Amino acid sequence: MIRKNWNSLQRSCRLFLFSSLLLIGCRDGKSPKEISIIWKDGKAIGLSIPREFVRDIEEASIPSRIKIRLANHHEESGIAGNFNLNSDSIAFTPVIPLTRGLTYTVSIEGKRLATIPIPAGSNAPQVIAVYPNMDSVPENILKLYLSFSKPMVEGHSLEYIFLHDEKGDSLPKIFLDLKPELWNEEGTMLTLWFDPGRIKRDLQPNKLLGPPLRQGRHYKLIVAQGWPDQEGRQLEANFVKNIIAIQRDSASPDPATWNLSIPRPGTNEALKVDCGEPMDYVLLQNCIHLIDHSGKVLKGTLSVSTDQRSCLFVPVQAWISGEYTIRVEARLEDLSGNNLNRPFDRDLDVKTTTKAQEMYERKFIITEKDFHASQ
Amino acid sequence: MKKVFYSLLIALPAILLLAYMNHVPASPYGLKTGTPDIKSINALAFGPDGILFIGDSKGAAVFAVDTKDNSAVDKATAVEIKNIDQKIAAVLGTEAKNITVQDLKVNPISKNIYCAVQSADGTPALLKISNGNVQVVTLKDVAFSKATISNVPAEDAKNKWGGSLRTAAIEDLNFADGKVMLSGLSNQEFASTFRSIPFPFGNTQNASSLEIYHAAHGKYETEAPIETFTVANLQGKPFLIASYTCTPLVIFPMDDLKPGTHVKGRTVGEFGAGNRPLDMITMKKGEDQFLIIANSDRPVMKVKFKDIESYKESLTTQVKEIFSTAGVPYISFPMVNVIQLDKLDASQFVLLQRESNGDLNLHTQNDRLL
Repeated sequence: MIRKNWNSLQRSCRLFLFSSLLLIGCRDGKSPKEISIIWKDGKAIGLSIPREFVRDIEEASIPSRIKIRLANHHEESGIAGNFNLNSDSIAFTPVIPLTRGLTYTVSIEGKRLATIPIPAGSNAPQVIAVYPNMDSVPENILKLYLSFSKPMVEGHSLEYIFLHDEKGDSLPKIFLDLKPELWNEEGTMLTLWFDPGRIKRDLQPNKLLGPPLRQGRHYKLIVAQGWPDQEGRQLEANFVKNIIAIQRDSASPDPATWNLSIPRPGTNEALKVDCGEPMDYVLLQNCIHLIDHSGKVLKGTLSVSTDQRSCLFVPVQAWISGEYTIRVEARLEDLSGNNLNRPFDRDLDVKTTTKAQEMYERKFIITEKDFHASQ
Repeated sequence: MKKVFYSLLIALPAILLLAYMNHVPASPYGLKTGTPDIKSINALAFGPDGILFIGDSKGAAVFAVDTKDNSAVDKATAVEIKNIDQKIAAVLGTEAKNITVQDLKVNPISKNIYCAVQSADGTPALLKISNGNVQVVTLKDVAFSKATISNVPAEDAKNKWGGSLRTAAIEDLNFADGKVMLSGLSNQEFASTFRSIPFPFGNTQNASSLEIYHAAHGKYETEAPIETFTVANLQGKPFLIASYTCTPLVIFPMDDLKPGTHVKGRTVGEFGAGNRPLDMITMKKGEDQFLIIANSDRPVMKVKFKDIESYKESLTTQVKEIFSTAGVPYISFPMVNVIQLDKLDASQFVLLQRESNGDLNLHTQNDRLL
């Protein structure tokens, strides 16, 4: 009975204390009552400290008297950053965002005021896709694109990416170790090159170490769990992609041989461009442009088929009868790095007579008559 | 009279302000004060008068920032900082595993060391190491100018088809002969670029395409990216000295690097496949000059300029055996896992070295080894 009353008293005291603090914090009805994290684009870019926490300190000396430190770190100087004094709060902005998953302390005049844990991101990152999509790729495939659901930590990719052979052995030095790594601006897509020295025939690394992949063999690309994203969460499970090496591809793509499915005038039907072979996923999206009879670039959306052999262009405005041009940038590559101007693995002793071009063009005409004729 | 007096009194501040403004020196090099929109810092290089060039791969740009750090120091104090990654992390308020050192360069005037890092969340930061102290270099309200790297699609092209933007990773950056030079690699097509941008930045940008004969591969390699390069005089003439993956040493006469040209370099050394050159500097001792090269899978190497100058051939045949070397001789220093290297002063260079126990230490080497 005594114990029950004691517990009840404790609860009442706690409630009173909490209410009092709340009242102190809210006595003007507006001022914030606790230190809060300032978020921007998923990053903890600063801390907001209520002004009344530093009521007795001269304004000019506030930045030198407030110290933000990593918990369990006791350097005299706090972490580097700027203090901005607002009417009801002080915003501290560190040089780099506060790290998710770590805990910071706020001290004023040497006294610890608060301990602020920065929560890790809510969702773990995932591998969304690896391009090329398909399992079967030429043995002289040049590159892979790894697409992630969230921006990943850069600079450590080869610690998490492995290629296993049929025995499950990890193949050494299979990818080009580039610093800086080739990421898109958002940090969500990594370009990974197979070692080009091993792909090129008759070259020393190719002769002695062999090509990275060999025709007819099966491999597994492993993107290992533990790779952290920029919010401190990690890939929770290995991502595995099967790869089967097929015949090498040593020929340049030729737009003149591509099959076109011509849409009807007056419609927004897709123009289908079938390249006859799988193309580089990213370049296919970026290197094909549609031009109308007046030379203007057509607005529309271009999507790449799952097998990366073709793309569909859907115009914003309906097609009208007339001549159109498909303009293809010469840098477009197939899976083996062969572009429109030259195969990747060319024999430089053989003189080529064709001159390199920046663009290749393919014309087509949309007419009611031709459409009916083709039906 | 009183009226005139009051008029003069009112006009006086304006006159004084005008006089003051006339005495404010015009910003040299066309720099303007503001906050540069730097998205990443991949490479650093110092230009004249404490101007720091910042290579920004993500922003596809090079920034020139006036550090105002131009008090001349002739002889630098040797720097020894153990676990420098931990010290940098502490200044930035994170743990060492959350930062990656991108580049490290010495201001040739003040001899202060500048270090670019990237945090795990992708935020870049610039730090200065002065008298053994690590401090942040603020990039707010600084005098700067910007050169956008050409051949990168304009912003409006970004989402034309919903595709991702092409970026050009900057592998190395140097300033010589009034020009900022940079080597890079696209994240889409397999193509390397070498660009030269006159400074002060204007509208002119000269892109030179370089071709080399790569002895380790036995073929011409037009696309291989230059990993690191420097500019130095050989027999009185300026040359670009470049090193590529797998590690040929190639020289190009600077006079040949004309806009839009395709220049064939002469391969003078082959330092073995399976290696990436990381940094290259020049040092002098007495009358002798040397290249010092840090590598990913080899020790730090020393190459004598005299040997390059006397090597008249060009490596055109394959080396006999993989991992073997050819061309100019070199000497390996007993230093491995050096990931950054720069000249500190006339007789010292600094190294950022990953020790066998995992520590990342910054230390100084004098010319005893040269």
